[in-house]
Amino acid sequence: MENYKWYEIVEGDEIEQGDILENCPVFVLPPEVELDSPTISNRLYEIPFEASDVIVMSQTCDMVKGRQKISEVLLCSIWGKSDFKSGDTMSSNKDWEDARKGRFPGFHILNKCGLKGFKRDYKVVDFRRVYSLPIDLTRRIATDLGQRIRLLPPYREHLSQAFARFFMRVGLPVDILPFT
Amino acid sequence: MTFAISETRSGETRPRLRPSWFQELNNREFLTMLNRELRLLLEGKLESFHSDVDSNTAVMELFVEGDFWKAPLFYVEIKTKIATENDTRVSEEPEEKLLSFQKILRRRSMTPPISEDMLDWDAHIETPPPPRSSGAIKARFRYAGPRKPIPLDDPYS
Repeated sequence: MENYKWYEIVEGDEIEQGDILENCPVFVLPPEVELDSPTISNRLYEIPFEASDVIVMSQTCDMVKGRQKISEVLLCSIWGKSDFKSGDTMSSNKDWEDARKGRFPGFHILNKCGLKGFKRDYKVVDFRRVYSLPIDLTRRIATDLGQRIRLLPPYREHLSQAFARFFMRVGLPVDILPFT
Repeated sequence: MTFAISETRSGETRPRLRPSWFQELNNREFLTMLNRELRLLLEGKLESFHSDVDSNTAVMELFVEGDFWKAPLFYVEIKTKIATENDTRVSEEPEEKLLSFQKILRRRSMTPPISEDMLDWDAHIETPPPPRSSGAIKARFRYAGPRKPIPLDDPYS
């Protein structure tokens, strides 16, 4: 199935939906940050960041250089199958199989990558851990990474659709009783 | 008429696990149809035909209806060798039955395989794996005023 490969290797500052950025810094604002006054704050804050593997969720057409329509890029955390400790959610094959079958709408499974020099395990995309970074910073991070992995169509559209399905979920306060 | 029924079990399908309900339903319906055909042959309902019947009665015993789920993957081959002295038809020919079964199968396959009850919307990772590395930057916040929408080109202008 060479015509339907999952990934390709890319480099440069062109970002597309499905680009995987490994070791990407994501910032977590501490809750003690004071933003009451719309003036310059002299207080120096320490802003923690974590280097995580993320996947670009924003639409490719919104990120075309020179015609970009967004200022921040939407990212989701991804983890490898072996990253989970025993007993955690997604540490068992059953969890991965349930996620693969779509029973966990908050997760999406990506195939393993066998490209030369970029062999990677199966990944899970966590739709509950969403970050954004300024698009120019994201371009610089992507460039600094050198070669990187890009998820290809139709798998990236499949991912995007799964994210939309999770995001647009509606929980009814009073559901209709079963007809049995 | 030759009924050749063989069963193929794949390691990937994990035959000890019960298949999904719709797969089981399809298996059961298909095998019920085949059993019915075999029973008709054994009961002599096709006596008016001059038939070259090569049916294996052991097949009847192999598949007990309640045990159909144990065989998640089937390869079924039906070869028909029926020659009649006249053109009288007493029943649908096996190919037609197979076609009608395939229609049912296609209709059933339209049913989403995952029911709402099987979805776990609350599944989440409580303790994520540790980050590859972490650190901190020092920063001051500067109020830059309210953001404005990004102007878009009007494709209709």
